[in-house]
Amino acid sequence: MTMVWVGRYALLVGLLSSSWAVFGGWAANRMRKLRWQESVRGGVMALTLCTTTAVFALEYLLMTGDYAVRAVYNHSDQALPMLYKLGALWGGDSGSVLFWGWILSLYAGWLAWRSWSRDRVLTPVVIPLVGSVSIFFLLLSNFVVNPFWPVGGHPANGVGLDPLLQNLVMTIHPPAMYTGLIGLTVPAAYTMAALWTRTPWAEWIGPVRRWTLFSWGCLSTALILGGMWAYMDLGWGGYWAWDPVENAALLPWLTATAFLHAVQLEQKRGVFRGWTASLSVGTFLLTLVATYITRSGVLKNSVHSFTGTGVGPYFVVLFWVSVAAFGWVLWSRRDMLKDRRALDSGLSKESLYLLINMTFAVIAGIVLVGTFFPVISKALVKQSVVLNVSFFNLSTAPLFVLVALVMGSAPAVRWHGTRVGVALRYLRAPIAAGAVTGCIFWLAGSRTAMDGAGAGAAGFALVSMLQEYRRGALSERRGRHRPAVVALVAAVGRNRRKFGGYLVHMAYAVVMLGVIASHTQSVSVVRTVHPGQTIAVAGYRLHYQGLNVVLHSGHQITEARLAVENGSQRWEATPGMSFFPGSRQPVAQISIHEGPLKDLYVVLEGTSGNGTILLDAMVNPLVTWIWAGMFVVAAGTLVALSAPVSRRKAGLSRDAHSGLTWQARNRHATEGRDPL
Amino acid sequence: MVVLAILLTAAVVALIVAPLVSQSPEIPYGVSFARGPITPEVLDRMLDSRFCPVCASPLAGYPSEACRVCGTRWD
Repeated sequence: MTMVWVGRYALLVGLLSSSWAVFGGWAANRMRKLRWQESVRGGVMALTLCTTTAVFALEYLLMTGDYAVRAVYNHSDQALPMLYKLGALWGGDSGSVLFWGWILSLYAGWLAWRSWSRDRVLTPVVIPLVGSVSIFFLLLSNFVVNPFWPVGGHPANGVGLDPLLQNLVMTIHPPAMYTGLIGLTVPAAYTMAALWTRTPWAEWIGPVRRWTLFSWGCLSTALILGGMWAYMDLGWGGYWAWDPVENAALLPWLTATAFLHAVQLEQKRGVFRGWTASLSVGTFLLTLVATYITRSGVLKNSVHSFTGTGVGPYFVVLFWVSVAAFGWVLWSRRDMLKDRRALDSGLSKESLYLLINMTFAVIAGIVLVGTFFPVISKALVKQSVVLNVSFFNLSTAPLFVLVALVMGSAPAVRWHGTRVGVALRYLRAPIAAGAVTGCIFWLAGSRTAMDGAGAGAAGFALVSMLQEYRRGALSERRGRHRPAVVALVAAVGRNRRKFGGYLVHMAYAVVMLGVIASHTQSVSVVRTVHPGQTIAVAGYRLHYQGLNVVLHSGHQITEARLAVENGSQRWEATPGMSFFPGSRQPVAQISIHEGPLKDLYVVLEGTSGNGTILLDAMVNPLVTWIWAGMFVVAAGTLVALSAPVSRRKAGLSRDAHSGLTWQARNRHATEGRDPL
Repeated sequence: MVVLAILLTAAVVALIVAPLVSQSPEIPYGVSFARGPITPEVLDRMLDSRFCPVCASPLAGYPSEACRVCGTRWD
């Protein structure tokens, strides 16, 4: 029981530390007490120490199997492999809330450790804002869903982890998702702090962009990992079902993507400031909406089942308090949200950035309304109407195609404007590639206009980005006799932000091709098969040899032995069904033979006493491209993040007010002088 | 358990209380570079930290030519 009390004590002290970080920080900033600010900084570090102690205490209890503790009893058992015991931390609500609070405290600790010395005016204001969200999670962890609460008695074994979560991908997906979602708290806090302190945009938008980019990269990876888990574990052959919980994670991703593009506009042209600030704040609010959807069970049509502890209403409170606070700051600082200059019209980079922003915002709006439609319809017509996959596919597909077209066109268009003829000449190769890709997909079976247009747009965007890499390398080689690879690396190194972004755009195009192909060209055969019988699907021949029953890590697997032939290739596939102790439903063990162009995906749907089985064999094209896209997204994000920080020192020196304390800036503003 | 709790408490108290009872002059973190002449490098870092390099008070006077608190000139 020792570690139980250590954990509980650490959570309590963590709550006190975060309270000091918020209230002490607020008082120190008001009274300009520098020593207090230093103490607040120590408080944040103490908060990080406390939550880390609590997390380690819970992990220790999970590893040692102390089933008297509720979080251990509910999500672990003796037979659970060590890796999954580690992941059982986020297997339920109580552990998840602790994990969320811990990651937030790590971000706060990073701010106190690294950002403090870089910006001694803004960081002390950012920290209490992040700390206030931290208080929320620590209040939940201490008093609502304390993972260290006893279960009553001393059980010898636990209930065990949900079998569907016993997957390597599922061990990585939640931490990546949490890291991304929680990280989006910091940009919102920065935005609010910067507006409140009247910090000039040039000084804070750079760090905010980097924080958002990091979180966005984690979120992108997590979204694809979630799809990979669904594909590998759920056995329906797909990876995205527009489930409310999936949509919940997609929503902040969409607005964060819009924000990252809006930042470019602000940095280059000083326009759309109100929109940029709203996106930063709105993205954070959508992370709360995402958590609410996931944890509250408000949408009954989700296949995900995270609910049961009643934490949902608390997120509603946090959401509305945040809306009120952010709304008030945005309103009271509306003078800071005025654009520096008007937007150029016509075909310019500015107009493309605007278009991409609007497109992502509209997609987010559609997904938000579609996700909450059961609740909205219930309120309006007293009947819960669930919008199915077709609604989301039909309404968002044209917009995703538009995104690819804009993405591919952007390199040919300059700031302030470009003539259409010039842009078209620049894009000759991408346009040709788009036409060829569209035709290939048409011939391969993607027969609707939208599928062909989507594939064409993705091919266009992909080649447009590749063309930029080629141009960069050629520019580096000009006048110098460098090998092509060296020139390419030098070009990327010279402008990592730009080429990192292009890499991410390539990933978008690759994922889009994978999605279109797997969505429209998939072939499936569902058949009852007797031992010795052979079935054929899209060139594959599957010869059923018989059933095996094996024991693995404490659960029983019934698997079918299939000899598979595809041309000269031969291998054995063993789709099966796992029966976990304490679980009524068997879990599908899917056999996937992955290839660069198509997967053979075999699911054992059922068995009978005489060895006859019900088999679902699918051939899914280009699914591996989606997973490859994840690595390209991660690589692109890392390249963009590795770009040196532009401190805008020149801008700082020119800025007549940048050296002022925030109280002085506010004074100037109230005296009617231009704060920017 | 008691030892762990005491260690945690001691660490937390040290982190929070130590800056409050510190006997050192109230110089903010990151400006210890500022002893000596105000070279362009010092000025550059001063702009980054936005505290007077000499008296460590926030640069309430910038971009005027002198710190409003201690009178140090940096033109």
